[in-house]
Amino acid sequence: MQTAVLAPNNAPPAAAQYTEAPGLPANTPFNVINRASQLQPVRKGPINTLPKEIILHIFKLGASCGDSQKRIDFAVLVSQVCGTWRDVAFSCSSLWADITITTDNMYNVDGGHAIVNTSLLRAKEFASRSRVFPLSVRLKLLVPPNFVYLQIGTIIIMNWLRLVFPRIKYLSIHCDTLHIARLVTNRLQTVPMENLETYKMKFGTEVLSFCHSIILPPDVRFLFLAGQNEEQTHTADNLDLLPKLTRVSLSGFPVSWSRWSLTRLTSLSINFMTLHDRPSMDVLKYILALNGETLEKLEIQGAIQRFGRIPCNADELPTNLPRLMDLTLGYLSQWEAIIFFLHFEAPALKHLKLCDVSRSILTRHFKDGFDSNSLVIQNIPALQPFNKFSSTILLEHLVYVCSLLEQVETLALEHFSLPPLVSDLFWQDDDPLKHLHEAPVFLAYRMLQKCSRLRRLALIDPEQCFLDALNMYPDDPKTSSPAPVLTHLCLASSDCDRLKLFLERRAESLAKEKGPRILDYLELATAKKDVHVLEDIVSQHVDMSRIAKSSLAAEWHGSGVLCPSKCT
Amino acid sequence: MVHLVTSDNVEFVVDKEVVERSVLIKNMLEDVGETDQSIPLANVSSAVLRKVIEYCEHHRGEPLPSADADQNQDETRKRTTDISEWDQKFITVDQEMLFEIILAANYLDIKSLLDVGCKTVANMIKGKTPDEIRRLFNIVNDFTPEEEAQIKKENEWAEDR
Repeated sequence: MQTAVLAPNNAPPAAAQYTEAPGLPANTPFNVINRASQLQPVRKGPINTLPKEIILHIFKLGASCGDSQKRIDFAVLVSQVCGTWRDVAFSCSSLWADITITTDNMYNVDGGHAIVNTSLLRAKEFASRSRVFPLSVRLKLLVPPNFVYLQIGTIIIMNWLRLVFPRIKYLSIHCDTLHIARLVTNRLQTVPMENLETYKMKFGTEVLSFCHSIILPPDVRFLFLAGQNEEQTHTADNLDLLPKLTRVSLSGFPVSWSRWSLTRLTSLSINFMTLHDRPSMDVLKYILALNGETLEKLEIQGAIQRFGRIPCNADELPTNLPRLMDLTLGYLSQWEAIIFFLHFEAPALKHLKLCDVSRSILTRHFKDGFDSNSLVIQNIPALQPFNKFSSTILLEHLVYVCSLLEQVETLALEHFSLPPLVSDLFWQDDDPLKHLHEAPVFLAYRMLQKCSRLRRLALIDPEQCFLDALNMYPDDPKTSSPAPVLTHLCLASSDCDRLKLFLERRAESLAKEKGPRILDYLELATAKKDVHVLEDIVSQHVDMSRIAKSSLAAEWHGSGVLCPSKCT
Repeated sequence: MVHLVTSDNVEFVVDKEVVERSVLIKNMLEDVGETDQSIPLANVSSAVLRKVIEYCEHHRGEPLPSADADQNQDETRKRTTDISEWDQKFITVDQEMLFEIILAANYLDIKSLLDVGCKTVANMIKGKTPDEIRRLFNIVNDFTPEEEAQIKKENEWAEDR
């Protein structure tokens, strides 16, 4: 029965080879046995007998993670194993397309005529190995311990970079001094980058944006987005220089907002601007309207003016963002978010993330507990102790005034806080469940009810009321509508007992076949030191198979690590 | 039902929906139509085909990856080296079987299985030194002195990040 035909070259045929196999004229009637028997047999054995195409596939998959440094490390690693692997790695341009350049350890070479560091040497080598492949370039131009060569080093880096500008597809720049920011943007503003699709600029740190304002001399504004120069701003200039640019992310970087000229963006992030550098609501409306027809993803965190103008004229319509599907809104004061919702409408919105940025930043810096006596906190007026944070009015606005939640399929709430309620909107609510539960629990449940299309929910550092609301179900669905059926749920909390209690109550509800249904996916995250406790709870105290079809207990890295839209 | 005969002359009778996860076999069946003839798989042993069928059974009905997925770099990035829990258990086999499954998946053109096998190998590589990788896979260090010198220089790159 066996019909194997030995072939001189026993490399495995790929699908393409199969269709092109010799001896199979197009007009020959197909016969299964003949057809299969003409395929060449594969050889078997250890890894070095795998054909190069498969080794290359392994390399590409190994270098496909989101962390650029890990991609770089993987490419270097596999190229140092043996000659065959090195040849395969060098044959693959994409493996070497990630370039990271820092200003660390700059030193003199060539008798003092040149200054380099190892990251620049590596960048040059990678640029050569990647041949003409589009590049992802990350510049970390931060003040090093020995900053003698910071400025001259940056000039050298930017001079070399000019050689590869036409190949750059992704450019990320992080600096922490104004003169470096100015130097870099001056070098960039007149350079065409015809393949640039993604551009990220970060200045300083997120906490810095709370500390002070950067007051810039008039000639030191960030010019890159403004066209050729401050005096002559032409939208066409940027469109010519950056014809493919569709994704822009700015964090803490001073921008000449009034001279903004970028259009056709699909993704825009404006994060952690100092109080002085935040765009006014009118400017923000102008910028978003310029990109309204294309904008699909918008992120604004710590960048909306705190006392923005509330529209009071009945004729003033909200700015429509017809394609916006994904919105992240981080606020210092909940009024910033409310004002944003009053000024904009997004009929296509499906993914919403709301984040109290001050609490999330504090959590990141004080993982082991909030210390209100810390000098850092005391010296930053914008950061208040936790008990003064509130998202109650924002949530009431979303539940009782705004219709946005009704269309949302994915919702993430990060550091959402619900202190006791006082609003008339809440007291006018006549849902019978209100009298059976504490006010925060009822409001949290009301939010879930409002999200009639919600399928994926992430709660980062949630208060107990949200976890209680997740396990609530009305006794009479006719008088109070049930919450939507979730498929994916992500919960991150430093309080393991809180997560355990949630799981127990969830299991009880499911056992009674009342209310919540089994989830497709449940992710629980907690502080690194408590992950083993969480794993014990999951493995020994709760039958997870009754709560979710698949689940994961993981380490919580602080903030924003969980995104229900990414759960699979 | 489709009849498959392995290199060691073992016949498998497999549901058409299951076996059509192999693009190779799917195309063959489309070309020849309904047939009672057995399809010889001269490059796949019965032990390996048993594993392949187990995989195809488990993933029956799932959408097949698009043909041009490889062309899109972003898609490649999204793939990462994450492997689902079931697939991880499935692919927990000795090295010889792992490479046989990879070769069979490539031969039969089952892209998702090829990815599972290759991701597994990639994960075995990650976090190790070149020397550890050589020992793990029994690879001979065949670098010339010039290449060794170049590699030594490359390792200095890792100092600045």
